Formats: sequence, C-alpha cells, structure tokens
Amino acid sequence: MKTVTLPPDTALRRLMRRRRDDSLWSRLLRRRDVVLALAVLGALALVALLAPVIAPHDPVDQDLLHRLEGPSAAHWLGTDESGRDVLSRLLYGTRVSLGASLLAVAVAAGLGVPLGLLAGYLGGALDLALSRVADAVLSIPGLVLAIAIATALGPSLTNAMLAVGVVYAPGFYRVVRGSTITVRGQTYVHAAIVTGCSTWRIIGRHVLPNVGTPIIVKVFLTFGYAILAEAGLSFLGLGVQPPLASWGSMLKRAVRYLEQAPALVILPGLVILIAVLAFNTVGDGLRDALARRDREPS
Amino acid sequence: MSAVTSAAMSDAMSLDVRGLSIAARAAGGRTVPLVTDVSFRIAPGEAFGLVGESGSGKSMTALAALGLLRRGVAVTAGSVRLGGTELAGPGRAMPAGVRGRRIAMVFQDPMAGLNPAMRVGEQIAEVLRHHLRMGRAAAARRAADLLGEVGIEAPARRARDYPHTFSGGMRQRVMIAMALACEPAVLIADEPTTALDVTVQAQILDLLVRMQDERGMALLLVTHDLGVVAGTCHRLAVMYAGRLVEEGPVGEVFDAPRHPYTAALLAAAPENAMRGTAPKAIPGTVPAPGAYPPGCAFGPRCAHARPGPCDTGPVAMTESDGRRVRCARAPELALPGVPR
Amino acid sequence: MIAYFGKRLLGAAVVLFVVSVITFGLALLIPGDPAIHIAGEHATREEIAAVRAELGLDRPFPVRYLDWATAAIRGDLGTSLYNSEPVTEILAARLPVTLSLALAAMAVAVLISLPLGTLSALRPGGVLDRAISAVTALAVATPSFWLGLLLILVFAITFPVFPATGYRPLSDGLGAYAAHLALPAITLGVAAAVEPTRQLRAALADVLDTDYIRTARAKGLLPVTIVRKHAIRNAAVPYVTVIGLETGQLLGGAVVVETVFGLPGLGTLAEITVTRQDLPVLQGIVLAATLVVIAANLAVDLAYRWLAPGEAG
Repeated sequence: MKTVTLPPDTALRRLMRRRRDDSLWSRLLRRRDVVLALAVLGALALVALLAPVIAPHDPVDQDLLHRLEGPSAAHWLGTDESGRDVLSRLLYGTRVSLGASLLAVAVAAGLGVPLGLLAGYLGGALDLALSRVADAVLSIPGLVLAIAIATALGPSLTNAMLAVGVVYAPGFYRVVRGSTITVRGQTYVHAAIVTGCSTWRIIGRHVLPNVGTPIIVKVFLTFGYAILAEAGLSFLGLGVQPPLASWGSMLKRAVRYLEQAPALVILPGLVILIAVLAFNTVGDGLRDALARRDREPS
Repeated sequence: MSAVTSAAMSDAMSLDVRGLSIAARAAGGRTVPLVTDVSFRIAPGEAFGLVGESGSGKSMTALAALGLLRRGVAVTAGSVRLGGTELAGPGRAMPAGVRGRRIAMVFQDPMAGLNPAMRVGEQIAEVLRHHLRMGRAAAARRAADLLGEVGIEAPARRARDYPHTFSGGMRQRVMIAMALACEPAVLIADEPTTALDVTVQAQILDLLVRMQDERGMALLLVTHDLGVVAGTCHRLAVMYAGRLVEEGPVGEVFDAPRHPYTAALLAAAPENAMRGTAPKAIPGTVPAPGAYPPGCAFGPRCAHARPGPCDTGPVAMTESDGRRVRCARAPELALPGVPR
Repeated sequence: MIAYFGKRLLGAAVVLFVVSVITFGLALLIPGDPAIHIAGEHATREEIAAVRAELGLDRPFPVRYLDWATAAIRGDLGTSLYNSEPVTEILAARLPVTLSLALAAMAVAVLISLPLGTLSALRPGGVLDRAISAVTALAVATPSFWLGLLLILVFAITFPVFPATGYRPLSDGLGAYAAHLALPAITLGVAAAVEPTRQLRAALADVLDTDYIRTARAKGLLPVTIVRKHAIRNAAVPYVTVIGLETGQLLGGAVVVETVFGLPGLGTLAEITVTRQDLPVLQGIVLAATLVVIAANLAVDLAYRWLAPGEAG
C-alpha cells in the first residue's frame, strides 16, 4: 500500500488522450482551420502589397455612364455609385484597411508592451499607477474613447488608428505585465539578478523572450479588432477621407444604395468578415496550442 | 417503513454483479480493459468490502453499478442486477427511478461532493421530491429529520445552511443522509473516510454500519484500507489490476489469506505490523491499465511466483468452502494472516 | 460584506477619477491653441489673451481640472460649443434611448448565449459544440453595422417585418417601442453573445465534471434538472461577469448601430459631434458611458453574493 500510483482518473485521462508531438508550430499547423487562415492572411498581405499591379482598374477612376452596375466582363464585381470598379477599390482598400490596422496594433503594442514590462518587472508604485490607468481605459467603452480621441486629434485615418491603438494598449499591458510577473519569479531571473545583470539587460534577455508568444497571440487578436474598429470609425466618417477607400468607408457610402445595389454593402462586409476571421483563427489557434503546451510540460 | 420493506425483501433483492467487464476507449480506436470478469453478490443486510489499490478497478465497478461511468468508459460484458432489475450491462442504460432511490452512493470527497450554491436541506429534499413526489414542505421536514438521524445537531436550522459552513465529517454525514433519503436497498460507499481526519473516520464508519444494520441494506464499501473493512464488513473481495483475486468472509480471509496479494496487503497495513517491525511494502507498482502482464497480473510483484503456473495464460478463479481465490499456487501456499 | 462592497466602491471611485482625468485631458490633444481657434485667425495678441483668460486657459492644468471636476460632480458638464445647450441636458435626452438599446441587446445576448453555451457544454468536442463554436467565430468577426445593414435588407426591405430605422419612446406604446428596437437590439446582441457563450461553455463544462454533479447524477435526478438546478447556477459567476463586462462593448457598439438604425441616442450624438468637434459634448458622452459601465460592474459584484455563497462575501 506504500506504492505511489497516479490517481486512477488522471491515469485514465492520460491513457485516453492522444499522444502528440508537442512543438508549438507543429501543433498549430496540424489544425486545418489555422492553415487555411494563414493562407488567407498571406493572400491579403500580397493583395495589399501588389494592389497597383493586380487591380484591373484605377480605384478612383469614375465612369458616370456605368453607375451601380452588376458584374460584367469589364467589372467583375460591378461598379459603385460613381461608376468606379468595385474589385479594384476592394483590392486597394485591403492596403488601406490592413495598413491602418497595422498602425493601430503597432501603437497598442508600442505602448502596452514596454509599460507592461516595466510595471511587471519593477512593481511598486509604478505598477499600481499604470494598472489603475489601464483599468480606467478599459472601463471606457472602446469605440467611444476612440471616437473622442480621434475627434480631438482631428478626423483622419491616421488619427483614428492612433486612437484605436491607445484603446487596445491596456490589453497588451495586461498580458505582458502578467507574464512578466510570472517570469520574474523564476529562478533563472533571480540568478541573473544575483550575477549583477542590469535591469534592462535582464528584461531584454530573459523576460522579453519569455513573454513573446503571448504578445504574438495578442497581436493577431488585436489585428482582428483593429480591422473592425477601422471599419466602424470609417463608417462614422472618422477614417479614410475620399477619394481613397477602405473597406469601412466603402460600406459607409454604399448604405445609401442598400436597396438598389445591396452587393455594394455585402461585398466589403464579407471581405472584412473573412479578414477578421482569419486573424482571430490564427490567434485562437496559437493560444490553444500554447495553453496545451503549458498544461502538460514534457 | 424500513421494517416493512426489509421484511418484504428476500434474497431476490440482493445486488448481483456477474461477469462484469469494463473498458475505456483509448485513442486510435483501441479499447483498454479496466475491469475484467468481476462477480460478487451482496445480500440484504450484508456489508461487503471491495478492496484494492488505486487503479485496481474497484471504484469503476461501483460507478458501473450506478451507471455513472465517465464518457468513453463502458460496460463491455456481464451485468449488475438488483433484484430482478438489470442496472448495468453492455449497451444498457440505467433504468429510470432506480438510481438514488433503490441504489445510492456516498463518495470519497465530501468537500467537493456537495453543490456549493445550494442549501444542504434542499439538496436532500430534492431527492425526496423527485423520487417520492413529496411536497416542498414535507420534503424539507424529512430532510431535517434525516440530518438529525445522521447525527447533525440542530438539524432544522442546519438544513438551511450552505455546505461551506460544514466540516468535512459533517459534510460526509450530509452525503449519507442524502443517500439514505429514499431508503435504498443498496448503499455504495466509495472510500467514504479517505478524505477525512483520522478522528472523524471511525465516527463515519460507525454511522454507516449503524444505518446499514438498522435499515437492512446491502452495503458495498469500496476502500483501499483493509483496516476499514475489518471493523465494518461481513465479507470482502480483493481486486488487483481489474480482476478479483480473492473473496471470502472477512474473518477467514484475515486469518488465512489465500492470495499472496491479500497477504501482502495485510502485511503492509501499518496497524498490522508486528510490534517493533516496519510494515512491509509491496515491491514494484500496480501495472497500468492496458499494460497487464500475461498470466497472473500480480506475478511480477509476487514473492511466491514461479515460472510456469504463474506467467502463462490467465489464472482461473477457484472456489472452495465458501471462498474464492485466483492463484495458481493457492493450494500449496500457507500464507500468514493477521489476528483481527 | 460591507467591507467587500466598500472596497469595490472605492475601486470604482478610483477608476472614475482616472477616467475623468483622461476625459478632461482630451482637450490637450486638440492641435493648436484653442484660444486662437476661438478668437479667430486674425485676432490680436491681446484678444487671444483675453479669450485665454476667459476660458481659464492661463491657469495650470490641475487647477482647471479641479474646477471642471467639481462642476461635473454637481452635474454641470459645460455647454455645447455648437448650440450652447447644457451638455447634461443633451445627454439626459438621449441616454434613455441608448440604455434601452443596450438592455434590449443584453437580453438578446442572454437569449442567444444561454442555450448555445449550455448545448455546447453538454458534449465538449461534439458535433453541436463544434458547430456552435464556428457560429460564434463568425459572429465575432462580423462588423456589427454590416450585420445591421443585412438585417435591414432582409427584415425591413425584402420582407417588411420591422421598421428599418427610427425610434419610438415607450410612451408611444410597447409595440412601436419594441418594433423599432428589435433589429438594432439583435444586431448588437449577436456580437455581445459571443463571449458569454464561450464563457458559459467553458464554465459549464468544468462544472459538469465536478464531484457534486456526479452526486446529483447519483441521486437519480433528471439530466435537465441537473443542468438547470445544479450546473448553471455554479457556472453563473464567470457568465454574469462577462455579461457585465459586455456593457462597455455594448455601449461602444451602440454608437455605430444607432447610426445605422437612426436611433437618437448617445451614439448618433457622438457621430454628430465628430463632425462638429464639440469637445464638451464628447467628454460628456465618455463620462456617461463610463458611469454606466462602472455601475454595471458594481451590479455584477452584487450578483456574486447571491450566486456564490461562501466566496466573495
């Protein structure tokens, strides 16, 4: 009776669980939805880069004789209220929407990551103050705050996305702060402190690499939110200014023609949906793969 | 009421486990046997101990009798019957109105076994309301009575408390009251004292035995602790690696175990160690399900194992003078027992 | 108990304080000197200085904040730059619309998430669970205003079941009120249902795996009773928490959804204000929305007491 055995339930669960190779990326790439989502993201990135090359028409070229037309050989997805080629506008819109979202994510991470590292690593009054600010920002409805900031800065796509970045910064802050606190408690960090490494060196060499993956997860998920936020702000008139188009601003203009040309509303929304879904799928897949790795270290 | 039912209960109301096998579906479509060909019978008024280490399949056997196997684990052969009713068998669902009413169970961990968000009286009352169609007020009164019967002070007031206000021992009393609510014919107690303080363990065992005796129930006491069986049960069965290895009256098995595993368990129990000697640990570990050795599963750890009879082919259960044993060398071994 | 709520209340006060500083600080973001902006491009240096003194801009930021905050506590949030109406009055006229929408959307979110979350928790990994998780993934990626437009297209234009846009106060009768809120509430509620569905699924799956659920099954209760009486209640804490947290999401989403459906709430107000650069009104919207969020979170804290006896208290 002195033998040590696993609780039967645990043993049974282990037995019933499939054994798998546990490298993070191989876990991730085994999921078909994640692979598909990565392919979509790759395609979107290509479209954003190559829009001028692959777009069949100039996205701002008006043709008032062919307004609100359905699909044709010349215009695969039809034309909008000014006779512009919808496909070309969507392709160029990819560049605008993804670029704007990238800016917002960069601002969010640029604010949240360093502050999260500092707060998590140093703790104390700095942590307390920053965490209160993060709580406060998080308790303001995100889009309302973004509108307020963007309005104060003046209406432009850049300002709108700066605002969105500020709104999402506390998300990064929390993730990084939490991971940093965990890492800071590890023996190897104590060892580094004892051997006299500088704080900056420890953060850069030991802490940052270990909070990297949660940050990547957050980047993907925030990218999805940022695309939605860009669309929402553009819809309110805070985003890209005409004649340039983003997916959101295309929707805004199409609303007036909802009855005559519903495709003008449906298409940009569908593109937004697919892009956000792809970012979220990769983010969620990465997070699940991480969670599983952390649960069974072997 | 219990007097009437117990008088009406003949031998036909005994719990009859016959040839029970249980397996888990593992990854890749494999099935892993967890319990193989287990048979025993518990008569009304009888207390029966089912003894084994973790992973021996004893709890699985008990859960199967209540139809509570977890998803992916199923009965593959044999049956569990109560009176004329089949409770479990391959592909069989538990008949309605039996579980909780004619057969009830007390679990190991009373801290986790009670719903934290429901008053304890309500948790007892809902059994009465569901099975006996009692009204709200009557069920509440009966619940308080039951709490009193299992030794909880000020039961009417305590019935309105939430589980977190009870100690572990008190919670186990609540669990017992809940199990007894519908006067079941069979009570299964799975390690009912393992999670409790030593001082409380004896009280809970006394309560179980008293209730079993007063109500003429069949009691299946599942435990890893032979000491628990010694003071409470009439008969016992020992399980190892999913099979019964020995079965018989408690006194006889303790006096003269016939299976080396039983003897080793007896020798390993601290309270049975000779004065001044350490309890003897059994070398090695219990084989994992799916990795049982050929022949006698206990063979690799057995001090009496011999090449030939013990490591080839399955070892059959033999029966003589009311005792059963699954050991190829049983007739030639004279194993030491312990005085009870 | 009282200490617990005292602590929560103090926390809420701290958050509100920081939010008020942020809100007031918005004025600092405006590029250029507001005094020049107001006095006009061709104003003399003296004229600008006069405007500056009049607005109090010559005094240090903390002093100006204190003035503004004490006035705000008395319910004075200044006047609109556009039409000089008191901000508080403007907000008071529109808040009921937004609150109606948010509450209705929350009801929709509960009506969606409660069954979906429960169904997926019953067999984690099963066909139904996977289907539901695919639907939630779609819902979270759908721009809410686009969904609103699609709903208008289907339920107001193609099949005219609901009015496409507009708002009727409750005083016009429940029917008209509800009919005008239906599509916006569904639009907003679908997005708000996603996180609660996921939370409920996770929490319920955990609860269904506990010993006390096994006890309930051993008691021979019906599966429906077990889920309803034993499981949901214990899974409710994270569920209610996330419903409470959705408030912010709802109010943010309301801005766009109100615009789509032409509801005269805080959202359309925000949209109008954007083009007018009416900062006092915007500040008022931010504060009002945040107050609602903070109140919702306090309500969630109150709910814990009832949901989880023996914890939180």
